[in-house]
Amino acid sequence: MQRWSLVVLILGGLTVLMVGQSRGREWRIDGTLIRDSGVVRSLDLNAEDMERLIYGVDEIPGYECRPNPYNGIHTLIGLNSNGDKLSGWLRSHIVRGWTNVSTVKLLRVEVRVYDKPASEYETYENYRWGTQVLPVKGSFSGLPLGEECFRYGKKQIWFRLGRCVVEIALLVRREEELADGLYIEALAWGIAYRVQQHPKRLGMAQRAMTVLVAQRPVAQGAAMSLAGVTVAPVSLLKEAGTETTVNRTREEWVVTLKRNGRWVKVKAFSWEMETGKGRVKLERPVFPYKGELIVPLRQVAEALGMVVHQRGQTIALMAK
Amino acid sequence: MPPGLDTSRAIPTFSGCYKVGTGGFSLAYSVEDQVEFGTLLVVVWDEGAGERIWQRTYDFVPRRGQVVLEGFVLPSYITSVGFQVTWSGCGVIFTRFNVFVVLDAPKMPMDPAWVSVLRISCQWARGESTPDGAASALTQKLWENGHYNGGRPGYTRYFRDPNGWPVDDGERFYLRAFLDDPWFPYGQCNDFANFLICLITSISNPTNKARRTHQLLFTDAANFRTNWITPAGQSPTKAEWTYHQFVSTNRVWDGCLTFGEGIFVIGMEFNGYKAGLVEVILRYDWQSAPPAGWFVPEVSAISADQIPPWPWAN
Repeated sequence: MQRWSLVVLILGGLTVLMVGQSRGREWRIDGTLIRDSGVVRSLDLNAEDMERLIYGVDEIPGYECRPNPYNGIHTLIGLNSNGDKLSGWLRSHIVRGWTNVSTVKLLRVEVRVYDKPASEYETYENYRWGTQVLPVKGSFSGLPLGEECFRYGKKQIWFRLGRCVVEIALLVRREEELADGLYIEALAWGIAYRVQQHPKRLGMAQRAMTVLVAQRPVAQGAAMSLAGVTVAPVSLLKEAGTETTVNRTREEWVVTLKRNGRWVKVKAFSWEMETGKGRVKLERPVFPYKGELIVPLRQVAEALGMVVHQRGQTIALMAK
Repeated sequence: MPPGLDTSRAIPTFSGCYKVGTGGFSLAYSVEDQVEFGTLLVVVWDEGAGERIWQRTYDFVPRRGQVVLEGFVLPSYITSVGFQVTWSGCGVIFTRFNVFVVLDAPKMPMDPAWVSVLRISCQWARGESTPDGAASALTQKLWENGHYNGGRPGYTRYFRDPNGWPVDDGERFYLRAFLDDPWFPYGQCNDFANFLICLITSISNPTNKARRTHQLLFTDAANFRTNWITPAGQSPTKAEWTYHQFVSTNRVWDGCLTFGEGIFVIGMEFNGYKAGLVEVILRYDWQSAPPAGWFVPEVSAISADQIPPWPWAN
């Protein structure tokens, strides 16, 4: 058997040894780098739990995940940060970068999950200290996103919900392509839904809505209230006799719903729906989750000719 | 002797760094094989140009020994050089490694220099043979490859004294986390200035001082509006900032922005930089910040997941 045991250079001039950089427990899966520091303490969240909080690599139309040319990654997951110490903050986080397939715009989503309500660690006041640019309170739409929300310019939004803090940023090179803050915010509402849907109750106080079609509960757990507006997957409307057509390409994700001669067309990350009577502004944006689009239930159902009654956590869809 | 100097004058086959124009190399080797003698082929190439720069075959050499790389001299400019050593005995086996060619011993805070930083600095400053030339190339490349995050907190944290009050004359830069970012190089002005210091000092230029336009504040108002600038990865803008951080010795280097649409801040005289950056003071005038005038950032090797919540490092 042949094997190099050692090859050594001896130099007549200057030699400087490199420092060995500390490496924790980490592994790579394609373009994802995962680190786990939970030696002493753990949040009981694994990489899959963190993935549930963020859009998939192919879930945002027009964007794809390309590994960074310098470090080879597009996603970084840190589990149980500071978990090698007996006390102090404890956090897991996921950050993923996408590239627009046509404009090369860069999109970045980061979610941090703490051991306690995130308000104990991150607030608007923290971000007023030593920051180069001052954040502006509130969302782009003016709607109450999370428990606290602020934004930087037209391209970055931050919000806190339960144990989570979410940051979304879009980078563009040219002025004429300046990002629409509402697009960024639509992405953010989708993350808020994911936080509330998370099986480990990261949104903390979330409670699923019960949707009744013909007095029968359907798609249990999938309907949620996002700051007072119930959203639900479009598949739920099938139970009410709606015909669904999905057009999902690399560039767009559109679902057309038809019922009794009426139709509605919704598009991922749009704040509007098209109907037979024209465009209608939506109370909450459309976003994807687990392979289908989530829509504001009342507005879409009513546009399809249904009557919607809500009492507390129960919402009933009835044919007119 | 600088810290990190290998007094045995020997490095193993993982990456190391050497001074430009160095010669007098020998190769000590050892290979396990069934035969006592074989042939050793040593090929060296410049990774930037992709060209073979030296080659030698040593016939009938023992499987363990040392050969002199006669006539081999490292390039006179910054680059990285690849080695391939092939043993032909009972069969054929080879090993590869590379070394970084820099101007002199790396300086603080990159002493010893990180391989992951040298990999970038030797690529971006490839072909340069002077400290100023290298610093200029690194500043430009950082701007060309970088993505300024709009000014929100990035990979730097500040220090507090025992009473909890902010200490303005230093900061901790989480270099490893910065290198691992999916959007690398991505951050705010602190991160750009600190990373530029790491790049420049890794190739032995001693320019290692960071400076701010204003002291750190808990604030609700910007201190100044810039002239037209183009932040890295962004479109031209006039920004309103509470402060800006840059690299400064007696001259200024700033890889975070260009003036207008392409005037690089490379070795700019201080007053010229000040005039070029600030259009109007909105609140507090330009200050000596930190009060001492400058600081050398502390560099941390901990990963992104271990960075404490904003804004404190301690």
